[in-house]
Amino acid sequence: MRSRTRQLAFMGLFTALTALGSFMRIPFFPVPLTLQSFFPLLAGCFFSPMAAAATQIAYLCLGLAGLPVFNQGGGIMYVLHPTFGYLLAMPVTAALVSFWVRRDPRQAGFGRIFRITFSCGLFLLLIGSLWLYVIFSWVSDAEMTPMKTIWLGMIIFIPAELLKAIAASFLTIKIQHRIKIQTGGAG
Amino acid sequence: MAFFTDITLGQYYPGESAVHRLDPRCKLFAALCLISALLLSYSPLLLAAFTVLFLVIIQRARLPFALVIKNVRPFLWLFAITWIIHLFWTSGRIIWTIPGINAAITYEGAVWGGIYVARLALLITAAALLTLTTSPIELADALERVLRPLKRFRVPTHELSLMLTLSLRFIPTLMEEAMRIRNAQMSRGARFTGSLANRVRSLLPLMVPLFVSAFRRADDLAQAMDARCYTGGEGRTTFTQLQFRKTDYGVSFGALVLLLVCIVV
Repeated sequence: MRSRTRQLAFMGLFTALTALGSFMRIPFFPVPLTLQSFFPLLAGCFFSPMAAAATQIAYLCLGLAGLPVFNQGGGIMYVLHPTFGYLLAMPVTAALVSFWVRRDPRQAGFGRIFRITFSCGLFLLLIGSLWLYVIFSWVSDAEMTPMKTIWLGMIIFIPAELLKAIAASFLTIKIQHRIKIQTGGAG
Repeated sequence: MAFFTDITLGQYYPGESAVHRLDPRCKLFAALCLISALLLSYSPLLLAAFTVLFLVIIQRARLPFALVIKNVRPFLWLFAITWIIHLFWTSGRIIWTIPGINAAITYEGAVWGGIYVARLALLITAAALLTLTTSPIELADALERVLRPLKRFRVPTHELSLMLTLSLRFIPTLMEEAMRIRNAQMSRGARFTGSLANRVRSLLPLMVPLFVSAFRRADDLAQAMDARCYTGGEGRTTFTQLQFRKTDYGVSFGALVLLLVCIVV
């Protein structure tokens, strides 16, 4: 990135894109497919770990402050929503992707970026299911086995996550060609 | 694909009531106290007291009751699951046994399920009251102030709140842009309906141009900021100053007392 201001502007843009991602949904069973978990992967490909996490933290702040940028609205009460864990995992995932991509910035081929984004996507699902488990067993005091939660919260989303990882790697390669943002640039 | 046009408004219900005029920091603090107090209280009497308190706040804030209910609605199925699970998995006096399977509904289950659901609904209402009476900009301001001490630990609070404001501005623009690109691609024969695979594939001619134009926009914005000598958070002043008044201290103190009462009880 050329300047600090430019980086801030791009980070704001990514926050906005993440918010936009939750509006682009394809009706699908059992839950609609959204691009929500796609943008942390993409942010990780473009920014430094701290900056990538910051774009997602800003997105969470927007939603918690009451903008309807989450899947079903927004507001502080969303913390109690069983799916909040997926949102909470977004900054961590973004930082993880970025960290991993930057470990070897010379190698930015499709295969490597896909491997990174897909495994980090799985990580996001895992954190999300953990939260699902905590909310169900603590707040609602319901009996859920960890295995059942993993099935409900993770396994059925893996095909969608695969598609998102492919799309994120593809877009990273495509956009890198068109606009000169160096993946290895100063964060 | 559904695009909302009134997103800038959010959940916020604009008004001039006494609750709206409270300092956002005070409201944030009071809401946190109320939520912690609710997490600690299980007695039906306390929950009833909270219900009365919230009704008074709704009335004082002149919020339409239906709007508050609308905010609780996304959680309805969580309520249902909570109640049903309590119904079946609490031991006690059996009211009814479902024939065929070995499941019984107990009296204690129904009561405790009800208490848990009421507690959950009140928790959500407490948070909803905050977001309904405080605009996102005000909340972002309040957060920046509250988090300011973190600057010592090199947390860039100013940058974070600037990003919030920037993205607030970007969201409606990007939505418009996405709509325009979608129409343009449709006029060239792109299809956004059909099978699942088709729909997923149709996102690509939408996303690539959207990214290219969005990146150009961010570039323009950065240049405009540079041209106006933006140098970061040091020594920057704000247009609206937050003021902590007497009533703010009163409300914060009241919320704290309520929390202490719930800890003791």
